[in-house]
Amino acid sequence: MMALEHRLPAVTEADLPHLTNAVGAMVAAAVAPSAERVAVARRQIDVGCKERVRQAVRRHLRTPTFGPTILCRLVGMSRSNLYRLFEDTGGVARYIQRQRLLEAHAVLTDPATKKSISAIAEDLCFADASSFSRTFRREFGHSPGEVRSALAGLAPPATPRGHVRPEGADFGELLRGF
Amino acid sequence: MTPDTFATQPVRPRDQLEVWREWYQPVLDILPKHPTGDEFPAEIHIWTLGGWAMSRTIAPPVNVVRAKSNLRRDPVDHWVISYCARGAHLVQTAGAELEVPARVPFLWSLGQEFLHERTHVDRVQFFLARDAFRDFAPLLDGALGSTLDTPLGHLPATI
Repeated sequence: MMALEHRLPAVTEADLPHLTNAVGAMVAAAVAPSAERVAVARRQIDVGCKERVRQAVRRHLRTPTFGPTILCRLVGMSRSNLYRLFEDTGGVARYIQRQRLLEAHAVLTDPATKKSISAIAEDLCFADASSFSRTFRREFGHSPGEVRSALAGLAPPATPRGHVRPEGADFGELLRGF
Repeated sequence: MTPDTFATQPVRPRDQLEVWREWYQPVLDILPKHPTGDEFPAEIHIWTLGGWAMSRTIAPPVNVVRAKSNLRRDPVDHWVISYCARGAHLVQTAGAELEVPARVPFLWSLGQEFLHERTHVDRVQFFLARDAFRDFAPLLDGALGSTLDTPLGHLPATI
């Protein structure tokens, strides 16, 4: 992909259909079923189970009593199966906590949300604000307060977007352009 | 062909992350990994190539989210093959969670929710429009959320 980048300046509009066909054939070969993919297909069963778990966790991030026991009941899975499913990601309890921390991070970095850090901690079922802050720092390398004050320092943006790319398209516009 | 380029270097360091985040809105939410007052020197070059596009990104570590709200605001649903010459990803998408080291291509879709936690990257991506590659839809959809860590899977990385 890096080599292609160096050749692109020499590519013309007339070359594009051929290049697109070549890329299509290459992509098809790259993702075609193979012996290795049989194992991947087998993993899809686990993936389906994991997705059910994921959705249940997302729905209950703010339920204080929610944990592995309730999760087993919600997804109809034994505790041992649930633990096996998440053993390579540090266990199911760790997974639930991580999702709560990611949600906390998203809330903290949302300029439209004015909730206090204590309220966010309580909302996402942490015992108290200080244990939330400790866990948050361990996960992200900085405290919730640091995230919030850094964001406050950014608002309002001092440099309007137009100064950076007066006529350029943003990411979405570029992706819709082909 | 010449690329469209977006870079944060022209703005003062404390504003670099914010302009990077704004540029990706509403397709993606960029969540900082470090206090947001730090500098954030990043650049992306995109070549649009008739039904697909290729990008080269060099950027500091962030978490990248495409949530339901992003999907609603911009429903672009291209397949994406990512390849990091430098840097690693932890990817949650399509019901899968995978750790992707440098030099291993992986396939995902902008049409699905995802969370990418990544280090500093020097990365190339192929964006494949569904209309242009519809003949390969079953293959591509079937392999979503997986690495292409096979001899043939590495083909895109070798060109």
